[in-house]
Amino acid sequence: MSWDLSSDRPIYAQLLEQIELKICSGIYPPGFKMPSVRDLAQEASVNPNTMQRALSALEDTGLLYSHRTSGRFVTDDADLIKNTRTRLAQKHIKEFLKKMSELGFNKGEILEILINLSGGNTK
Amino acid sequence: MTYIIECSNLTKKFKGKTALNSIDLKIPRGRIVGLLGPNGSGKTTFIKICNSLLTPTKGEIFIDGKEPGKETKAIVSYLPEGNYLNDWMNVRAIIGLFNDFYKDFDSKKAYQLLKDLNINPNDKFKNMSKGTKEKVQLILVMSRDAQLYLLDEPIGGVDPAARDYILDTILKNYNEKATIILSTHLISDIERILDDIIFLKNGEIIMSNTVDDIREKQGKSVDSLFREVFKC
Amino acid sequence: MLVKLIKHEFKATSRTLLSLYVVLLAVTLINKLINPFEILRDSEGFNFQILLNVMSVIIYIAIIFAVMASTFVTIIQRFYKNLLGNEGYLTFTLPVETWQHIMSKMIVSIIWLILSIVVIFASILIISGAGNFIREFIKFLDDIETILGKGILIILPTYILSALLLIILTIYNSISIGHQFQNHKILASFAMAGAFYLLTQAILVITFLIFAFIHYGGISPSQFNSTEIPNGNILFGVVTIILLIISVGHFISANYMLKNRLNLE
Repeated sequence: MSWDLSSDRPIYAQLLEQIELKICSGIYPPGFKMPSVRDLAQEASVNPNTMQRALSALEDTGLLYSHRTSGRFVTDDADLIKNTRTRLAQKHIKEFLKKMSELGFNKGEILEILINLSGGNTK
Repeated sequence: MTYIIECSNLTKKFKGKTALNSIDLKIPRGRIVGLLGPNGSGKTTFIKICNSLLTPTKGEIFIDGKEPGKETKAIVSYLPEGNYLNDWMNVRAIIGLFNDFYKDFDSKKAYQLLKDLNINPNDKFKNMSKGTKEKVQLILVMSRDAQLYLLDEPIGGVDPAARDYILDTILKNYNEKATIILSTHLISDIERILDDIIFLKNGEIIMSNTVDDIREKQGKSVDSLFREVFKC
Repeated sequence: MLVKLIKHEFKATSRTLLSLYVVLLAVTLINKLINPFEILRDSEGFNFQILLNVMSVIIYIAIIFAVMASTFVTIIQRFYKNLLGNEGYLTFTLPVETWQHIMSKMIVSIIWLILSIVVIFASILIISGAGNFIREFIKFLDDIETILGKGILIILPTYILSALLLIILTIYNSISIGHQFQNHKILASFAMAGAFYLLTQAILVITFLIFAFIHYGGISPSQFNSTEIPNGNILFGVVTIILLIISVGHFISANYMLKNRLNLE
């Protein structure tokens, strides 16, 4: 998964979201030792200071923790990751619902489309 | 801790024209700063004064708390806008020169970067394209472990693929306690690596802020802000 | 650092100059083998052989001039290009004091000038036949000692060295001052060099007049008919000191200009 940064929002906020996403999707599994700030910054082609800021913010939420000597790790707290996943899912669904209502669909119609689509996919 | 660059009332006039008008500036360590502005806004003049290649008309400037001179030159790594390589030398010879004079120069790193870019160290500058010479100069500059990098239009003359490599090289090779100041008018390409920006117009600072602050408050990229501010 | 600068100065300047000196010595040897000087002296009338010989003599003389001229051109170009041309962006950002740049260039220039003189002398020595020339030269040195007085054989080389130093530093200072002008920098440099030349001549004439009044009680032509110049050694000594003082002045001025008034555009 690559780093996809849009140009109109603060970079650190976007980095924070994308690392969160990588943790939830298991690219960075629980207990995973994170790459160094410099490597991550280079991978995303961003300034190391900005990456540092995003990582510190994630430490504040508990998703990451740092060990004084051995580096920075993804949390082992499965519940925390699960909660984050749920929060992200809710956020995306809310956005989706908002767009759908803008397009003029009601909840029943949206559900119908969803069922058809997922049915079609599992065929 | 002292600022890496500190200047007050810095003014430079050429033939009666004001290139820099009473600049007051403090730049801390460990930042990547974009010096942005249209051509002729004073970017190059400012960088040259930091290198004591130009003498200010008025005001003062301190690099690492000292006036520009022998000691500041030892900690400043400068990439000029133009080419300073003479025709008769080859890459190996200029690496020897850097190695002789700069204590913080790492020739192993320089040879590695040359290899990455497929540049033969035995090639003479006479036979090199403009773009290759620019890359060689950048390699020389980034192979130093300096405290202040002054890069004047580092991505101006190269193609987009090389541009990415250059930005990577900058990110990979600078020491995080060092400050990088780079001047450019190609903002969208470098925006994501900048901490701070300084907008220069007609020799004056019209804005100086962090990139994330601009995005947060204005809801737009520095590039679009720049286009608005400098709209013709 | 000064030693490193000198090393790089040699690298930069030796490419053209060394090969030129080698060419001069090669042409010398060829001339010695063909020996056109002898043939010219001994021949009568005109034939093709003589034309060839005249040509090789002319080439030889031209190369001697070329050696002197290129040495000067290289000295001037190196200073101008390396400090005030594009290369200056690198040169002036090396962690080195400005005076060290001037000093290293000056030392290397002096060495090249001395070497060019030595090479030209060696060449003439080979052409004219060694024994002959050395005998003449020793006689010449004896004559000088009689004319100018004791100690002159030490004073004279010092004088020549100071004169070379003065020439180099006058050029450096003229270029440094000429670069302050916003237009026609090169023209201004030449004008400065001309002005400095006239000034130096004026100082030397005044020195000579003062010296003449002190030691000879005036200038009367009769005194210069004699084969000896009384106190000539003192005169050369005084002039040497004056040349050195002017040289130091040029050095300080060039250093001030390049350190405190530099504007690389």
